[in-house]
Amino acid sequence: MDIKAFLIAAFAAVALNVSAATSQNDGVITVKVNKASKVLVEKWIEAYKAVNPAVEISVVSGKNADADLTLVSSHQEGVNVTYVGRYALLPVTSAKNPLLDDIQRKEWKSKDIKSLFFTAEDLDEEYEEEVEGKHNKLKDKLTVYSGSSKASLSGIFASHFGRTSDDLRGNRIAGDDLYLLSAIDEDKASVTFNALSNLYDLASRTLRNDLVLLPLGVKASQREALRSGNLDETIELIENENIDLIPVEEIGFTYNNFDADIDQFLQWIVSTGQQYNHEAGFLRLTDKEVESQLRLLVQNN
Amino acid sequence: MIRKRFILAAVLTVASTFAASAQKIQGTIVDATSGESIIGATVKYGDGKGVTTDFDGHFAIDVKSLPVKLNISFTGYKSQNITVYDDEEEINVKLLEKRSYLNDVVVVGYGTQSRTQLTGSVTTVKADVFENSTASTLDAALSGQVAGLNVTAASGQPGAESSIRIRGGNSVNASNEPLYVVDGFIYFKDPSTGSTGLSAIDGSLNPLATINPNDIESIEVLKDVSATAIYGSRGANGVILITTKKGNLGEKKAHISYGYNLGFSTVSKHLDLLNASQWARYQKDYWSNKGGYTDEQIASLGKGTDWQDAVLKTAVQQGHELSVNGSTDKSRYAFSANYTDQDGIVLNSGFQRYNFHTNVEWELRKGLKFGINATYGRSKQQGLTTTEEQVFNSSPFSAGITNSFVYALLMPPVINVYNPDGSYNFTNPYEYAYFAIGDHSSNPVYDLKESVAENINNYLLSNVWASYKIGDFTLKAAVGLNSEKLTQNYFSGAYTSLGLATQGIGGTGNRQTDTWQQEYTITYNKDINDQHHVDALAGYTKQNTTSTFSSIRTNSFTNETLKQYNLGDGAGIYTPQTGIVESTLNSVIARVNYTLLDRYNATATFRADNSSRFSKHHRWGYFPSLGLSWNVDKENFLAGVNHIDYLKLRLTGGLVGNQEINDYAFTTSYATGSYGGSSSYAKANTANENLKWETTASYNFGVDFGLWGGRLGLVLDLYYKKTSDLLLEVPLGFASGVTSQIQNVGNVENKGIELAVNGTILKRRHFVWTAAANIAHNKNTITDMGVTNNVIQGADNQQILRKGEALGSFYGLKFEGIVQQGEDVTKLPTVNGQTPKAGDVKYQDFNRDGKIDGNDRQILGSIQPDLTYGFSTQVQWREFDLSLAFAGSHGNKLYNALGRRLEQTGDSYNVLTTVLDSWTAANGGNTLPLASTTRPFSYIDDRYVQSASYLKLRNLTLGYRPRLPKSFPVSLRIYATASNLFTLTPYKGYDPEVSSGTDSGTYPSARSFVFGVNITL
Repeated sequence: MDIKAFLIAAFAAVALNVSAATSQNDGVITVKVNKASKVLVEKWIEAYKAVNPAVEISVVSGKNADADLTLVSSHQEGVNVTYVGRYALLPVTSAKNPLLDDIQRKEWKSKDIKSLFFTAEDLDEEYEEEVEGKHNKLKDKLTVYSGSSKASLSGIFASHFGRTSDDLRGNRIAGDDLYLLSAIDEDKASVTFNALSNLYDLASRTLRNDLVLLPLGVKASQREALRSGNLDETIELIENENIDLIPVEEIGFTYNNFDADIDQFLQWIVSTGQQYNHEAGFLRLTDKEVESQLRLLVQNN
Repeated sequence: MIRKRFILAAVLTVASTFAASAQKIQGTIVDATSGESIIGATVKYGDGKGVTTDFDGHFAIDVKSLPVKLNISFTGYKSQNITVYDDEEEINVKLLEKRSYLNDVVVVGYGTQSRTQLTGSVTTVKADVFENSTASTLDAALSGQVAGLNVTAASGQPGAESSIRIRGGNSVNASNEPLYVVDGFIYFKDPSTGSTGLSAIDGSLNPLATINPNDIESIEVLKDVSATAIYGSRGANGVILITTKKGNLGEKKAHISYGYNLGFSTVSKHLDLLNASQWARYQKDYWSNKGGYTDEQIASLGKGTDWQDAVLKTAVQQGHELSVNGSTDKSRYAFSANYTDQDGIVLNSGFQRYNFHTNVEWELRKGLKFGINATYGRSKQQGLTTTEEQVFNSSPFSAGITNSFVYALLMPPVINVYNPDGSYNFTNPYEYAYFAIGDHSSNPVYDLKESVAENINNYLLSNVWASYKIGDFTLKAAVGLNSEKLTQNYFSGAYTSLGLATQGIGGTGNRQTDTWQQEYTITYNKDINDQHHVDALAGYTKQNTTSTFSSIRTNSFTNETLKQYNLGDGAGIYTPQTGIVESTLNSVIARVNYTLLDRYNATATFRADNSSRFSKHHRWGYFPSLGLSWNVDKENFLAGVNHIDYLKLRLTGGLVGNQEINDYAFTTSYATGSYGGSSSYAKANTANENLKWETTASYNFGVDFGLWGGRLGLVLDLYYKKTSDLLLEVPLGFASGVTSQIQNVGNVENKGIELAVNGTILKRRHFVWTAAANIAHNKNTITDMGVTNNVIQGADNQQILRKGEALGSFYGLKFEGIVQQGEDVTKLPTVNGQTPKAGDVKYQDFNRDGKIDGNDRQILGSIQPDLTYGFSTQVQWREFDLSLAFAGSHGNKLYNALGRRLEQTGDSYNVLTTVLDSWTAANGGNTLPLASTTRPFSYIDDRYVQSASYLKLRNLTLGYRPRLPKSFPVSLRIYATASNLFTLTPYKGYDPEVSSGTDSGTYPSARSFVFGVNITL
């Protein structure tokens, strides 16, 4: 083999290796996203570029990626952040779960969800379960899956119920939260939770065929919307009604750099770009939030 | 060649590219609570493959494809399953500890050990006990926390020392204090190092004042021989291991805390003394009415001067505490600075301390660690002057006037503190015995305000260490220095009681004590076949102590403005005191812990000590011990018993020693003095070539029992200790040239039982209620005194060392009432050759010889309590926390010398109101004789050997942690603490806690209320 050919191959390999970590070129807005938000961000970029063809925006991913804007999935303290949308988390199981009838027979209220997903808060309860054998049969048969990565929404789910992700029962996965659905598909007698964007088929606007939502103990009218399996009805319900069983959290962009291009892009997302949130399975910001985020962006200038 | 190299480079690069895209899973396993890396955790994957985590808790595995299931486990933790779907980021696994008492890791001598593997009796006291207590020294916070550990304050003076006894006292003349080990540094304070040679200062600084309680992470109390034998020569009295706070590994963010507290103290009890009208009436009715008061004048005198109130005050205290701790990838650190300023409740007394502490360790390279622990500070105690120096038959001290505070209690209430012009009143016509010259008498308020009695200690306690782990071996070397400079200042001006006779007296003294410690150890820690665990230690340690002191005193001052800072003004110069003492302790240590099947544990310990304190033929002491324990709960026959969390039986036995006597006690020594204007030498000690170690053989049987999922824990211990070859001060004949000599004579026995219970009463998310209680019984007996039986001790000959009795036994007459009118006195024993008459005291004729004398004295109880106990409880409800800590003692006695003094009637001094109930012909009375009588004997009687049983609410703390907005980057706790809120006791003096056993007017204890805030960033 020719030395030159080897050198080119080696160079190409090294170049490929480091490309993800290379800092972005000037004049291009780089955006780092997780898998769950990728669809939404790409929609925003596409729509924004349609009206601002001169702006170049590229999506980067990977642990070493460095970007102008980084999408975060929770409220951030002490950093500049512009919130651009919201998401909701719902508890879910496999449609082929052998315990599906038992699960569906129940109305899952807050205490039931806490009991199912978390370790006992109370020494007495834990003792009864662990030592005296007073088992909650359904709970014992179901394995909880939760994420262990930094980007996982496990912490958001846990804190909504007043606990921490360390308190979650069962098994963990390493990787994007989307894989939680793979985990419950493999281990059918299991439950997990996930964002609407992962739970629903964005094209058909319906719940994925292989999944069933845990019937929540909510008002009858609210139950109907959730039962419908329709993404838009679900989003409408969560946007319009405050349901304490459903964790809702904001997504936002933190910035490494801030310039006029980035400012304009963010202002567009917060205002015009909101129309694409539903399409990607996300909730829009409330009017009040839109107003406050725009005001903050003006202040940043 | 070049071509080959290029090819190789290219292949490697491409290979690495493929490798980078292959499935390499990396992660770190940490403790979910502390964030510290877990070394040796097992990561299983695939078909039984597995790796263990390294020194940093890190693991890396290569898998062919994803997803892959991992099972992560480690002893004592709940295992965790993780399915890995992508390898984009490192996996950070937090393992939760299984909730079990036996999973605790405890600090033991020269290392740590899992409680499951422990054979000895070790009690741990956690940091929260010290955080809840606002005490300035750790001993005060320890009271009531540990079964078998009895803390008795020497006095209520801020910064004063306490007496700590673990399972009773073993020795008569050698120290009975436990050994302290601070972060590995052996910290023992020889009582002689607490003085510079000046003896006019009442009390001394607490040696533990050098340790700020808030710096303590945990304290381990080693009680039985298996635990203490590794400290062989010094383990006989138990060992207290103090571990200071470190930064938490994994906590990358620095934690910065600031605390401030402010409080006040008042005396916890007032004595009822006669007021002016009562005193004048008593003088007129029973004595010579020196004041010449008429009945009308007596009625108009009213309360007069309350001298007790005049010398007591509401004292203010405050403290600042700043600490920073955290860690980086390769280091952890903790720094703290503390300032305590505590006014005393007696005028011109108090305690101040500046303290700086650091504890830092670095991992210099894999396996190689280096660390420094250092505490630097300055303590200052302002106390009272004492008359103790002048102990002779008619001295104020022998008359019970031990210091200016006591003198204030004795002041007639008809005497004013100040003259009408505001100047001090130095006229007291009733004083003619001790503190008056001509028409000039001393004034206790002036005494206290103007006298100086200071102990100032500048200290450095430092330890530098390095350890290197090679495979299963760890080598460790440590060098430490404890350097203390004690300064004592003393001044009593010409108008004070102590300076009255000499136109002022003052002095200053310094003592520099340096202790160097070297320690070299090697440990071997190995799990063999999941069935055997071996943990072995061998090492050498050496401690050298050098203490030099000097002091000077002068009297007859012409100018007192600069007090002790102008001693040259004193015309009379006392012989200066200077000296040096050196001691060395060389030791070889070894210990092997072996655990079989996680069920059966054995610990064999050996220490050989060579001490310079004994004669050259007896310097080596050998101290072996063996401990066995059995984790019964892990046996198959208990596998189905769900209610039992753990059940462990322990059995230990061995020998430990005591060398805590003065240096050079084995050899002849001479003391310098002055005679007829020239220097002189007097024999101070006569040689004892046979002086050797005092040894204690000790046996312990213990049970650790846990029930109902951590709800109830119980520790029961039974022990027997026999101390032989007591280091006893034996009286010698006149021919020897000295009055006594330390010899190895006699035995002391301690046997007892201890029970500690702790439990969680309720545990809800927002409400947690826990409680702990302990109780201990110890029986102390002198079983042999050689030929020196019946050694009487004390200023009032109130105590005796006698075979068959306990150490600290009181010795005196038994009071049988007052002779009543009409009583047949012919049947009563005579007193000093006289038949008692109505109104006289009756004593028991113990030897039935028809007369009362010294031979009728008998044992009246002892300072040894039958029971010591403690109870504490904590409640947490939402943002509030409440804790209470009680401590108690039952069956011990205390000689109330102050009470005896204050019921001694006469025409000079004030008395207690109980004297109003003295016998009279009209009203009878059966406690005190006719008030005009004087005591027939100097012997004490059982009216003044009083029960010192008590139950104290040591600490009551209420805290609140307000919920702050998330944007607020701090956490806040505000709290209020009350200390010594109440004491239930039949004792009639100020406080039943007086460690010496004789309450001769010690500084009264205070009740304090402290409010504080802690802010953590």
